Amino acid sequence: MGIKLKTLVIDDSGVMRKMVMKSLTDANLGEFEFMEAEDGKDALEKLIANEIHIAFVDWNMPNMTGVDFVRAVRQHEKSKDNDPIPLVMVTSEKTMGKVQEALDQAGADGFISKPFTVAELQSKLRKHVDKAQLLVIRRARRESI
Amino acid sequence: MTDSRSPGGGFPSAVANAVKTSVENTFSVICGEKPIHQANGHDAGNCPCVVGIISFVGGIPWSLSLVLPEETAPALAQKFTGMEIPFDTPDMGDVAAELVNVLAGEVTAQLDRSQIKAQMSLPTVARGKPLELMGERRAAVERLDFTTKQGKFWLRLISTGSGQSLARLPGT
Repeated sequence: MGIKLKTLVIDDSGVMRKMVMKSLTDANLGEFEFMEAEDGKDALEKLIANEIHIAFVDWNMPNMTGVDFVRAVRQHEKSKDNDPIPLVMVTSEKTMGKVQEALDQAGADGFISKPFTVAELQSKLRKHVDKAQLLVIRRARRESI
Repeated sequence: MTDSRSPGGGFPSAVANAVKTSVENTFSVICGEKPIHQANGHDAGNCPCVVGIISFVGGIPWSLSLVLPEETAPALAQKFTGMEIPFDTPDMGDVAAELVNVLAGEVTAQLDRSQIKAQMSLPTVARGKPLELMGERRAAVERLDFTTKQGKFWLRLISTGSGQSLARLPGT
C-alpha cells in the first residue's frame, strides 16, 4: 500500500528490539518507521506524545508490564474517542491463561510467541499491518474534510 | 566452572523433565535442529561464560541458569538474533537474558500442562571465568548438558527451598 507505519517496538532488551525491527523489515509486510521503548511506562508516554499506528509489545518488563500497557492504551483511546490501533504481543509467555489475558481481557489484537520465524510473522501479522494502514488512510481522509 | 552441590536431596524430576523438553523445543526452533542431551557432560573447563538466570515462584520455588561458554555464545546469538554479536559486549548479556527468558516461557507452559503453577522473574545476567554458581547449602541441584552444531551449553537448576525468590518480578 506504500504507507509508512509509525511503529512502536517495546521490549526491555535492546537486542530483542533490534531483532523485532529486523524481522519486521525482512518480512516485507510494509514500510515501518520505528520508535523504541524499554518498558510499558516509557511506551505509554511515547504513544501519548506521538502519532503511533501499530505497536509490538513484550510482556515481562520492569515498571509496567506489556499487558498493563495494553490496558492503559485501550483506556486512553476510549477517553479520547480514538480509533484503537493494533497492539501485538511479542512474548515468551505461552500458556493459554496468558494468551486469554492479553487478547480477551486486556484488549491486545495479536499474540506471537518467542522464538518466532520471519515466516510466522508474515502469516500472523498481515491482517494487523493492513488494519494499521487502513486506519492511517481513514485518519488522512477525516483530516482532509 | 565449579558447582556447589548439596549432599543427597533430589531436584523435582517433573520440573527437570519439563526443562529438558523445553530446551529441546526452544532450541530446535532457534538452531533448526534438536539439541542433544549429554547424560554425563560435566567438563566445563576454565572458559569464560555468560549466564542468564531466572527464578520461579509458585508451587515449587526454584531457579534456572542457562550457561553459554565463549565457544558457543556468538554462534548461538547469531542463530537467535540473525545478527553478529561479539562475546565481550553488553549485547551478549542481553542475548543470554533473552534466551533464558524465552526458555522460561516454554518451561512455564510445560509445567502448566502438568498443573504445576510457576511465575517467572525478570532475567538477570552474569559473566565469569571461571563462573561459580552458588546456591543455598541445602539446595537441591540438577545440571543438564546439551550440544548443538553451535557448541555446548548447560543449565543449572536449583531448588531454593526457602519459599521466596530474591529476583525481581515483572511490573515492579
